[in-house]
Amino acid sequence: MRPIGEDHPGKEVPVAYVRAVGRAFALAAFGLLSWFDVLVELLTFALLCLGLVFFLGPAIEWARHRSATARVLAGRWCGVEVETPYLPEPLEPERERDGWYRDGNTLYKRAFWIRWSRRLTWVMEDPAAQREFGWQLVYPLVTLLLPVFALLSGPMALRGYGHWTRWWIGRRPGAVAKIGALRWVHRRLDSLGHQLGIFALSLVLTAFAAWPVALLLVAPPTAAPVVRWSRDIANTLRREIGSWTGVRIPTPYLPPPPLPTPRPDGLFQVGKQLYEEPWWPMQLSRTRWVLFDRATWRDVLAALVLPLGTALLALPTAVLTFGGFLGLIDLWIWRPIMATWDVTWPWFSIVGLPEPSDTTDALVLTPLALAAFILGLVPTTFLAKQAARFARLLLGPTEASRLAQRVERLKQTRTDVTVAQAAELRRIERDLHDGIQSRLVAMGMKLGAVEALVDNDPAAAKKLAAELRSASAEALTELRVLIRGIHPPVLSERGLLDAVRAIALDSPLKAEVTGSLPGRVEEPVEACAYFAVSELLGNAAKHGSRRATIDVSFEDDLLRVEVTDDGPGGANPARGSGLRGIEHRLGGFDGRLTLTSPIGGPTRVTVEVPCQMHPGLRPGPGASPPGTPEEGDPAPSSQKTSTSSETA
Amino acid sequence: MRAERPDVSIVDVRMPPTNTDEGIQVALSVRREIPGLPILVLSQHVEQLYARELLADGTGAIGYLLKDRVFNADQFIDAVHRVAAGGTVMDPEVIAKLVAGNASDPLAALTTREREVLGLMAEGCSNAAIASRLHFSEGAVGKHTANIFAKLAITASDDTNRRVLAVLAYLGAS
Repeated sequence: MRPIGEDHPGKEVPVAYVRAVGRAFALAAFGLLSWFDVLVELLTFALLCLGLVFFLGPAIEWARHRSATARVLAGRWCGVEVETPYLPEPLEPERERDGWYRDGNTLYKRAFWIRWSRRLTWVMEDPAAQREFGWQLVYPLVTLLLPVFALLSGPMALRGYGHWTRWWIGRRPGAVAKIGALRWVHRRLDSLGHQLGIFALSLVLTAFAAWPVALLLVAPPTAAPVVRWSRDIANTLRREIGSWTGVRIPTPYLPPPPLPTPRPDGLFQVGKQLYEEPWWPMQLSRTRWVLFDRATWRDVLAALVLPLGTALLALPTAVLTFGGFLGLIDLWIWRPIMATWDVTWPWFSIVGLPEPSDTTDALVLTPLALAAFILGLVPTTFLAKQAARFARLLLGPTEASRLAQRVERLKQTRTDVTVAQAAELRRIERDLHDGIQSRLVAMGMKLGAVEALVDNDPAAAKKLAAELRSASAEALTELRVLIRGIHPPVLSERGLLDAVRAIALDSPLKAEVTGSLPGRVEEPVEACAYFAVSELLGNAAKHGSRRATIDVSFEDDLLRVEVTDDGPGGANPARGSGLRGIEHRLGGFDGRLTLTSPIGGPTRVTVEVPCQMHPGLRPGPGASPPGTPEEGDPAPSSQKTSTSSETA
Repeated sequence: MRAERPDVSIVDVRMPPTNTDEGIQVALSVRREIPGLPILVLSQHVEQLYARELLADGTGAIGYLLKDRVFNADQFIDAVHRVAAGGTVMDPEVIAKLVAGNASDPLAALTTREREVLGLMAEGCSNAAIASRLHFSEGAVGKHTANIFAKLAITASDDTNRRVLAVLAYLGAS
């Protein structure tokens, strides 16, 4: 039988055609299903991400209930108290005055995200959490074995279990090895890591150094942003070197140029060319800034030279350490394993030593490998520091850049000081106007009334006069408060130390003043320090402290005032306006304010101001505290004195 | 002052040559040599620090007042007499700050009346003076002072100087 369509070609086409079309449609529909697959995959991936993001944290926290129960049971049934090892819970996000929530440098409308991200970080990064995860895996096996041990040894098994629980999920004092030798090796390995890290970062610097140079030579106006990016890499290197080796490298760059200022007619002038928009003059000035800053070119030099230098310093130690370590591995792990397959790896012949063929040879070569390892480790810290110093030569600031930065800082502090001074004068003028002046005017009016009444109605005049007397007393009190805010009399009369003692006595806290000053400090510095102490004690009282200690000392031309209080700590690092005010005032004297405020712990604020002693001025007689029976001579002595709040 | 031995000297805190705290220094050094020499120190502002220094030697006959108190002639003259007689006079403003600063636990046990009496005791007033100032009878004042001494666990005393010192010691130490 011939196929149907053979002698009727017209009929053959429809069947095959229909079949083909049908199959094509089926394939098309089938193909569309593949999009469905993709959709499902994407959905599951999204669910995974959602799960990772939203559910992992709460799940881990939920699992903590079980470990908490295990701890409680260990305490109750096994007699071993187990403490919770977690870090303290993260703080609630604080609402700023304008209603936004701030986390680092981002503002949020709602606190939800900040709270959630803090909790997630807290849960995931707690080292106890990681230990707990291992415990969750192993714990069921151990408890399955526990009945067996209990049958054998009774309560002792439970005790052992309790101790095991405490060791695994209790509080661990510190992860650092207590053994001196291990600590030594740990530190040296860290230094080796630092050496290699410095080398690696300098390679990155080199990799990215070519672009800014090329652009500066080819198309200077476009170079400024690229140079900025490469400076970021250099700054990372400076920062990491500082945190790894302790060798601080300040940035050497000149401060950026100010925005172009227009001429009186509104146009911007660059050389002999006038521009309507400031954009091009800005580009030109930034290009000039980048091109003519020697630090840019020194960075390029560093990019070329630094990898070589650091490699030279790191090479011997890395080679010795890794060689020794790998040698040990080769002797005791690799060789025995490879011996069963009769394969040897010529590790030792690379350095010219005979290959070990059996255990005795291995024993002979082991001390050699160990010695190489130790020898490589010994100089790592020293060499890391040298590499850092070498980097500082190339990446650190020159005298010119240091001066330029100093000028910039002085401009800033000068502005701060003049602004603060103007604000202060305005405040005084306002207080005088609103307070004293208006009172004196009222008193003058009343005096006029007395003058009028004294003949006709003496009794009324007398009453008015009595009122006047109390009004003038009130005016005096107000004036007194104002003067204390400008320059407290006790400061001019007695000097800083006694003035601080006076603040301590007046403060609602129990404040103790320790320390001594070998003379009188310059008056503006005295006033600055006095107001700083007053503000700090006020803050301490406001945040719920009960005691405070104020220590005043002078050493190496530096006045140092340290206020420690026992409040709840956790002072806002963004710093309230009071602390910022102190900092601004200190800036005018090149002073510095340091704040340490761990949560729960004591808050300590240190104010340091460089200044001179004035031998000419009579120092305050703070030698003998009031209440001591022996009257010392009026000449001050530099003995340590302390005034606690008690009298004779 | 050493030569004349006046009955009472009235001294300003700020005096030449340096116009800082000469007055206090003079008062302290003269009383070191002649303990109990009556001196009344006046000032435009009062500091707890100076009050403690003046009271430190515990010999009485010392006063420390704001110049404002001169406005009330009767009270001022009374203060001068008290110092001349060997008593102690402290400006109410110093005491007020001291009492207010310790308004927490220690003084919470006292009633308002007792707190007023405490303040006046610290200023150096005798029972009679307190009675006339607050319009009580002397017996009532005596009762209040006894209560105060009991509640604060201070040794009772009728000597105004000792009372001032005791109360200040108590307020300062708490």
